[in-house]
Amino acid sequence: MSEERKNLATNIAQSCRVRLARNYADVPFPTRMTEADSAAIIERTCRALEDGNYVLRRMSDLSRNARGVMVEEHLISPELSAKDSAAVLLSPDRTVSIMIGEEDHLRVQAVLPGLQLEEAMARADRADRAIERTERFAFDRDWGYLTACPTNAGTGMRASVMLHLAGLAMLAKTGQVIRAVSQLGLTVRGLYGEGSEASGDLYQLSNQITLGRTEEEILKLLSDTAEQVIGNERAAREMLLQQGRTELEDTLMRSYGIFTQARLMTTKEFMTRLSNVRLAADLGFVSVAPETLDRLQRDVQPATLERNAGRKLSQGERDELRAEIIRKALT
Amino acid sequence: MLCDECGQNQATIHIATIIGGKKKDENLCPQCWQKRNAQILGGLSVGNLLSQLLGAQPQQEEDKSLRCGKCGMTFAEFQKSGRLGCANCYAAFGENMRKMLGSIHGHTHHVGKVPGYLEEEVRAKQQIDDLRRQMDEAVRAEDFERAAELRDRIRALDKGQPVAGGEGEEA
Repeated sequence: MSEERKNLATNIAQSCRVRLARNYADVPFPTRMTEADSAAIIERTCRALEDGNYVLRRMSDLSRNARGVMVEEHLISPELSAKDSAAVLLSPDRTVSIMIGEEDHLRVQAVLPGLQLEEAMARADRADRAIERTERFAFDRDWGYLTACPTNAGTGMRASVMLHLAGLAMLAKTGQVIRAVSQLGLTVRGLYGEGSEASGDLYQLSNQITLGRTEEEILKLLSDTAEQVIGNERAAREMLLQQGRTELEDTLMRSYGIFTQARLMTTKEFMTRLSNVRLAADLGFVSVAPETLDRLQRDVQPATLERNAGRKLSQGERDELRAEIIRKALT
Repeated sequence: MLCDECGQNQATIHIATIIGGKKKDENLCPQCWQKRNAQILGGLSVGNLLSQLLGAQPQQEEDKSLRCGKCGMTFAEFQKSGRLGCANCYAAFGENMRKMLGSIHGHTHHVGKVPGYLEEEVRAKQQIDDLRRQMDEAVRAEDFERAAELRDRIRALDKGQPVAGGEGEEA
């Protein structure tokens, strides 16, 4: 098991992300941009980051499938993937991606495994500062960084932690957690961000407020809250074990059994079973490395499946191939 | 019966949830029910949030026709889409914008990171704000000598002159 995922906490906190929304001061926001504006902001961003070895990917050069794969890898948002005039810059290790022409001119984001928000912020900040050396962003002394949607104004920062709350979900306690964190100016969403439902018991905890608090304060609040929720999740797991270890093991291992034997698997069923198998692995009922499950989760998403198959697949074909990949990964 | 959630309003909605064969009964007021619904749906969407915030503040007719001189977006258009047209819209929609930012964030002043080229200026502004606060305190305490000294330092800072550090102040 890798260093980063060595303890249980990092298995509960799957990944973290920091995203900075920025706009060039002299260009209208994306809803009012001309084609020339769209091209110009891509050129300017590339020039500003010349030294960073970033790789540019224009949406217009990518197939629908290639865009879908990037969405599944969380490198771009579904919104960006739908815009032909948009582009993304990727750092060599792909932990930093700069979406150009999404809701704001720039969405500088860094994604890292586990709970390491400060490091994610440091990486996003480096890219942000690098662009700032040659460019002027829309900034107001009172209102901070100006964004297309006022919900992002101020720091323009949205930070999040992806948490696997299988134990709390089994005890029907996630609602309570959601209510509690929403009182702290934080919010909880599903796996693919805004508007998506929580599948596989994966919950994204993020800050709601971006104005009137410093980046450090927001990150600390988020980190501390995530730690607390992780504590709650550990307690929930403990409670489930005490209530009936064999029953719990039976429930979880049935999903493992289905993973190793099923001939057809939908995405929806996959996510539900995956949550059980992750929990079974975390509790030591079965020996599967978390990395194997992470890779599996990525490989069986629809667009990635089709890319690896090298052709368009019907839903039935996808379900069959998905089941096959799962069996191979676990046996 | 009072609402289980807030304990203040009259509960008018009864919810029965059955999880793992166990039934749970709850009584909620319409407001808490709405909140709960929004949370069940994965948090408030931006569109919902904005329309709620804007809906909650009755807009003056003249506000609706406010127009950004730079990109041409009207306040009514912004209310509909939730997206501004350019950086200048913030200033163009003035007081409405300030109110909205206050309702969304509970604050109207940015305190975080500033672009490198503005760091010095913003620091000076923060220093001036700080000195103004001290000056007001001095006036309240009828320490007019100190107030005058603080006033002079504020004036000097306003003109962009470097100010020698006074007592208890960093230069």
